[in-house]
Amino acid sequence: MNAEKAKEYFSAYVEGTLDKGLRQQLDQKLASDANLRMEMEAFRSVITGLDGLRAVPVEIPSDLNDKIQARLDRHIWEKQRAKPAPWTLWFRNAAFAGLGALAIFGAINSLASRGEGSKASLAPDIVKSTSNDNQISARWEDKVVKLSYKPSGQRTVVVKAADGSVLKKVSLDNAVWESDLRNSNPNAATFGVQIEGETVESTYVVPGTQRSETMAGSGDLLKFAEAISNVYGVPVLLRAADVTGQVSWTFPPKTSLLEAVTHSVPGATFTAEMLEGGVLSLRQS
Amino acid sequence: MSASYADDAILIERSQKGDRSAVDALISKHQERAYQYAYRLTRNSDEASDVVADAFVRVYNALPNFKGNSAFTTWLYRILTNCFLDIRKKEKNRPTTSLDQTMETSEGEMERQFEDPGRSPLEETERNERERSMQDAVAQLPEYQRAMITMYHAEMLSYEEIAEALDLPIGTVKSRLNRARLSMREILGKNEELFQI
Repeated sequence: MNAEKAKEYFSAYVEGTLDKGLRQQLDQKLASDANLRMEMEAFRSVITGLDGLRAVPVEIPSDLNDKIQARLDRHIWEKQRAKPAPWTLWFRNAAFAGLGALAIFGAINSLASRGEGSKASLAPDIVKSTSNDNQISARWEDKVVKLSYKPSGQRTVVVKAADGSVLKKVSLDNAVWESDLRNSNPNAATFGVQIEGETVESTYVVPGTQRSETMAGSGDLLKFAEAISNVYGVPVLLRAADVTGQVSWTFPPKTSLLEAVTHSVPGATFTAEMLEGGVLSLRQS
Repeated sequence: MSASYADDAILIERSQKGDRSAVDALISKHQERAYQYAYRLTRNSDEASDVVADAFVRVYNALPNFKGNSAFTTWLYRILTNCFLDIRKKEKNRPTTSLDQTMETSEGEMERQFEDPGRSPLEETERNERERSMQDAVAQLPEYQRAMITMYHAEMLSYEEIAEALDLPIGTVKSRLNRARLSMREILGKNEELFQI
């Protein structure tokens, strides 16, 4: 056994797992080779030093979980964006089947909360509202607007009814908040969702169980959003500093929803876009 | 089957059924260990966070196909190692920072400090120097050897677990680890006094 070959057995020798025969050969070699003995001692020191690495503390960043969740959410969002939006498919099907066939019965207007303050995060198919910079995600699924919000730090979320009464007020501390906006009334219902400290309130208009055929009207932006929701059966997210501005609208027949909304108000001062979660966003320009 | 292994199995099953909260629970449970390993490989906080975040995205994507033939932790080590190797391929010459170098805080830069009572200042200095030399030497190893050394010595994985994580025969793991230790001996040979070599 030469020195180089002997070194191949160093680990097994130190760990005591070397075959008896090889161990004897190596012992003989070590006894006769001072350099190899020195190498073996150095090798043992290396192993001791390496074992010491486990005692070196590693400081875990306090925002590690946030970073992981953000990366995962972004990945899910990008994956989802690559697919056709669920609403697109739904609307295409609905166009063929006729909107009237989709009427659903019921008369309960409720706000259901899911796992408030829990650590549960965005569901796999939730996508961020691209025009919504307050981090609340909205997804239209099974006739329910599913909201999800992951605050950074302590935040309070207030949900209000159309008359301004507070339906829900939740204080969050880095925990994910999820809540459903459900409307079983015939007509569209309005919910105000505000993160305390934010100047602009998000207003969600949730479609009712019946569709309207009134294709024209006038009123403030909120009435316009309700009209869209009533006619087309889609939820609308309205983000406007002032919803009292008066508009008149006429939804042109046989056009896509976005075209209809965009062209329904001459000289419109809002931007309409369909968010990936199947919620129509109206933003004051 | 250990309690932890069983817990993982339940969380994985729930994740496979689309329960995102189960995914989050898996992440919360394993993120610190994952970061510790990633940090020991990269010696850079940002890079380690990137490795861990990438790894959990891969975990999320691959969970539907996870059969549970190996422990979740072993699988996670494999994914972390692959993420580390991939990131290193992309950013070959990225500088690294030492544990003992400065860290960013809200009050500016400061020295990293770790409490370790019971040693004299001289002993402490020697120990820090030895650890730093050891870490520097590990950092000079090829990435693959570094992963093996870190798994075995710092993360205390068995040869079997490393073999599973890296998809290698145990004999290969043993011989490569021996080679890595010999490389360490060569690298550290330049600083013999610290190691009484």
